[in-house]
Amino acid sequence: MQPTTREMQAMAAAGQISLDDLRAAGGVHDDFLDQMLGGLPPSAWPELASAAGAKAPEGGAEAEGMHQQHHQQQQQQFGGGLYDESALLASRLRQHQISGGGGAESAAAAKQMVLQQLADLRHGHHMLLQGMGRSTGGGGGDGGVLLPLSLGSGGSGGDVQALLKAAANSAGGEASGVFGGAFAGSLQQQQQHFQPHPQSQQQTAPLPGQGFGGGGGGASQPQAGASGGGAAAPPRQRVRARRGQATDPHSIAERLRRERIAERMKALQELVPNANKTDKASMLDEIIDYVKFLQLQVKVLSMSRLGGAAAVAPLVADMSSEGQGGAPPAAAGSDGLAVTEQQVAKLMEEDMGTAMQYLQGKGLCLMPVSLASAISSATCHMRPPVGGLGVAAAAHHMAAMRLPPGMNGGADAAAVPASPSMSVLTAQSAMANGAGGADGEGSHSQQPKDAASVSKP
Amino acid sequence: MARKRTARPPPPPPPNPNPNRRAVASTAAAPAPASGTASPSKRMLAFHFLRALARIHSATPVPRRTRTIRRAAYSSMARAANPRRAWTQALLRQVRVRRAMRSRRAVLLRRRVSAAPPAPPLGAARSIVSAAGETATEAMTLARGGPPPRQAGEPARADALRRLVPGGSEMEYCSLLDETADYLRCLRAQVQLMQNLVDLFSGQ
Repeated sequence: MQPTTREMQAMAAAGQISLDDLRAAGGVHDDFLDQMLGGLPPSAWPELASAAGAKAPEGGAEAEGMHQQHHQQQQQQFGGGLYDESALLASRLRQHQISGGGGAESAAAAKQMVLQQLADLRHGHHMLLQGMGRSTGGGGGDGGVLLPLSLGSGGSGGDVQALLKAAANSAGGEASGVFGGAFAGSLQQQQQHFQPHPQSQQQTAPLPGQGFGGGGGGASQPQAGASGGGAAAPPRQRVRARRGQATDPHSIAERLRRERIAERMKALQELVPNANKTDKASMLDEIIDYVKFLQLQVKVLSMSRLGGAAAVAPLVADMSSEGQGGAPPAAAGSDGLAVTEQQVAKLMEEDMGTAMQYLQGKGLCLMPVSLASAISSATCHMRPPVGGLGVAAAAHHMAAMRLPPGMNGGADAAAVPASPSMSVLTAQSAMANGAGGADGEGSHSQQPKDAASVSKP
Repeated sequence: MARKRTARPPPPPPPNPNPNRRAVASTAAAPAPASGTASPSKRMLAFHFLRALARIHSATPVPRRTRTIRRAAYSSMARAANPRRAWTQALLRQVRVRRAMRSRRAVLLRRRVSAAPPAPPLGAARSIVSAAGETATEAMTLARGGPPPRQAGEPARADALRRLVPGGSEMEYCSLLDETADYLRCLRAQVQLMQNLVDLFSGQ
């Protein structure tokens, strides 16, 4: 298993060191390998850097392409176990070598080995990745190597081995067997190291895989091959299975679906006010209630619009004449009121909507008796403003008032005559309340839960 | 009427067939939320709604205006929103069906009235019209293969949501949530618009 350990160590070391640069780079578009190597202590790698520089352009594009995809798509999932084996490798290496302080030399040696292997792999084994990429099917454009890695980290090293062996058979590469053995072996050995080293795992996340990809990928061909294999669903998110979870496609699809639903619920939560519920069921209830509320608001507003727009013009003339008249409107008003009341009572029996429309047509509004009495008591010392305001305000007030659906015998409401003083008072109160007017009137309406009064948020 | 003309926002952009082009969407007030979809352009909303309002106030008689205004609100909302949304298409389809029904009913009534004795035609026409309407909707539903079967993780309350959101009965749960979000945004914008209009009209 010499090559295996060598590879593992090399990759771990390379990944460990270069990951820092990687994270610093953050979604680099330039030559990935250049970054990887450039960030290394120049003293340790002068020859390697120059040597790899030549090869960087080849593998850089492909590696960084994959890396880029990873960064963009799976930032979170990196920590979640995307590169378990690399993390494990890194952790192991750390344990054995780096932490001892003698890491510099071993790291350098490891890096040399890595680069050499990269060179070898790039030239000779890009076929491997191609084959692997294709064999793993439409798992996503993440690169052939990573797919088996992901599957393997899911918890079945045996699967990885089988997969890699199949890929090896198809590709005919010898190193594939080595790789497969290395991966599987590392997986099986290192899985227990996974937990204690979450940090290292994060750090080493993309790089070793990228290194592999870069090494095995070589020219853009492997990338084309891998992404061609995954091009069936390039934008499809590759969900890395967490450790201990099943990896069959059904559960993955299920998980994807659940995640999608969760994120949509989160988006909805932002829209709906009062969204502090953590329970999904109650959140759904909240959403339903909010939609119903908004639709009710539309209905109420469309009702108010009737009076506001249509009735304003004729009634403005009416009000001004009434204001000037004084006594006669009172007398005529009482008769008219009686008739109106009868009409309204009759209409209310059949349909509230028509009753309200009738009232609106007359410039009247319905309000609870308590409010009416309060207003009448306060009416005495109110100075009438322009008459036109009254009716419009009445209509507006109407919109704000919410009668109990299915009024109980009409005992709670009384038709308020649009006598100048009354409507004026209404207007005054409406104006006085200002922005909060709708709220205030809504609260008056004794239907706190309905809040049909359109509150201005 | 004059009041409405003056209250209209400064000349709205010519109604391009896709009112949600970048040129218009850039004027939208709300910033694009995380999901990537912005709330509908307020200008387009206002334009459509005010045009509908003007038409209603000049044409429709008073007693039945509430319903008409409410429908106009929804239609203008559907027109101003993203036309690729499922709920938008469902709403517009509803409008079209209703218009077809209304024209069909008018035609049938006229035929009936002219042909048969005037007494019973209303009932017959209504039954015919309702049948026509039903077949139309049935055809539409059947063409789409009917509502999808109950999904696995879908809670029981989801069908209430389906009833609320237009076109929600044929969606999967996942897309239903998405449509609900968009529908909520548009609804809220529409309500704000209507509220502002009411304030404008009653505040003068």
